[in-house]
Amino acid sequence: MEKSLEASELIKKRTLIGDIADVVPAMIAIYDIPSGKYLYVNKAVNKILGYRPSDFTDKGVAYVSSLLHPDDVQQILAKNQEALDKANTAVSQVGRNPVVNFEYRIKHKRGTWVWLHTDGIVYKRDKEGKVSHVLNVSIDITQRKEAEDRLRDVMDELLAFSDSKDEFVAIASHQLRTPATAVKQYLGLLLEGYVEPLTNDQENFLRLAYENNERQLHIVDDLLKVTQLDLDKMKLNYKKTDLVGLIGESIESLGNVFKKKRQVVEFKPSSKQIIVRVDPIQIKAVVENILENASNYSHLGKKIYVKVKKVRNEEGGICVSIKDEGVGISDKDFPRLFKKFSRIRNELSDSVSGSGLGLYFCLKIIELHGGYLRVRSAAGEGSEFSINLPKKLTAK
Amino acid sequence: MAKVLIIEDEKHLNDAYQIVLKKAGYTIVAAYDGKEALDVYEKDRPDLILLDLRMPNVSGLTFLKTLNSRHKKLKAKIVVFSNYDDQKEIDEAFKLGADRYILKAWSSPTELIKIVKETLKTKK
Repeated sequence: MEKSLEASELIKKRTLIGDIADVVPAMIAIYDIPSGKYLYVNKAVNKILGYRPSDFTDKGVAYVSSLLHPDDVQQILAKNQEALDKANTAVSQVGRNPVVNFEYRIKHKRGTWVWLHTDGIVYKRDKEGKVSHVLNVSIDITQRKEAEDRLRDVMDELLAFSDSKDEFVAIASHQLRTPATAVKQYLGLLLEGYVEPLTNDQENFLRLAYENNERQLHIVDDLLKVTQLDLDKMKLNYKKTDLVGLIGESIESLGNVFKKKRQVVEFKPSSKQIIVRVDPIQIKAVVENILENASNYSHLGKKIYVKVKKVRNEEGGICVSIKDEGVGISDKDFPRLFKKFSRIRNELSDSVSGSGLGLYFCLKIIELHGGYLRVRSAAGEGSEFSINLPKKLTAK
Repeated sequence: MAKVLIIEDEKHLNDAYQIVLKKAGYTIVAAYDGKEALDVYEKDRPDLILLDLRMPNVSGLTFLKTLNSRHKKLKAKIVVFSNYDDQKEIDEAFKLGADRYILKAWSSPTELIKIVKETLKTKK
């Protein structure tokens, strides 16, 4: 009685598991490696690939391999073999029982291609401990693959569109230079005394016109720099540069700017020379941009503190810090600080002419060098910008 | 006084440069495209050429190439300018015999005269 009870329990269990296996929307297949025969294939093979389980169990693994897409078959078989070799030779528990996954195309009974994702695991080992049976669980990922393709196409289109927008801006910017150059020449002729003496008013008005035209030209320059960056056309020319010297030169070249506002720059480098491999022209432009901001956004007579030092922790590298006693940046303006065309409004912003591209440009250049920019600031409390250059740029 | 040939396809700019250099005392000849410029060069043999690189039909570089093919040794000094900072173009221009490059948008009349004066002084 007990035996038959056990047996009937077993039969019920088997039937239950068999029922579950046949309803599961994933293909389950167990095959024997030496013979290449399938021990078991569940009914999902019909729903997913249109074959009957007997099509597989009668014809074996070789037949199924022949159904694989020609572009995928090589790497699938290679990956499979690699996994088997690892499972047979690995020493660790984890190494001996890997879960290997594959994504590939296989032919549906009606001839179309179906994308499958298959997980393979070790099912049984022989007396010598070598893998004898493998269990594969496969699901249909055709829809997911098609969605991925569509997404990739949209992304490509967007990138192409973005590139064409940048190229358009570059073309328009170059063309804007032409009339602005003509204006510069004619106003220059009047202002530089090539025509006839000017009255005070005439000179003042013409000078204002000339300066605003120069502003236009600067904006065009900024636009071109930025489109170059965005189009990844910016090529850095790395040269061995003395960073201390470069910063000193930047401060000097802005001498008139600081003088006009009676501002004093205090430069304290940690050593006389700090050699780095950077693009000196671009780094100089970044330093000058931040220095100019420090001056523009500080009142008359304020001080600007510039420091440069080697960073002595694990991260290493160089840190250049430019600190001002200016109007500072309020919390609400922080998110827009490094964005293109963002001009922050504060008590001094009306007197500053700018395209709003400066900090975006600075950020991109430093990032291209592998470094990063940090800002510490609060409204009314001045700002500190730190340029961090990575350790690898200090290597000989 | 030295003779300067101005090759620039934008009429307003060409006229402005003519006024600037005339005021500085130079003799001026002008051309508005590369083809015309080749004829003017042969006729007038200037001491210095102000050459716009981007021109329709015959570009500045083509003008230089043709000039080089016709004359083994170019006596005229050449200042090339454009509003495009195309490094490839600039390098090619120097290879073809340009002595100096300036960006049009950054040169005021006084700066232009300074550059012409300096370039005329240099040895070819």
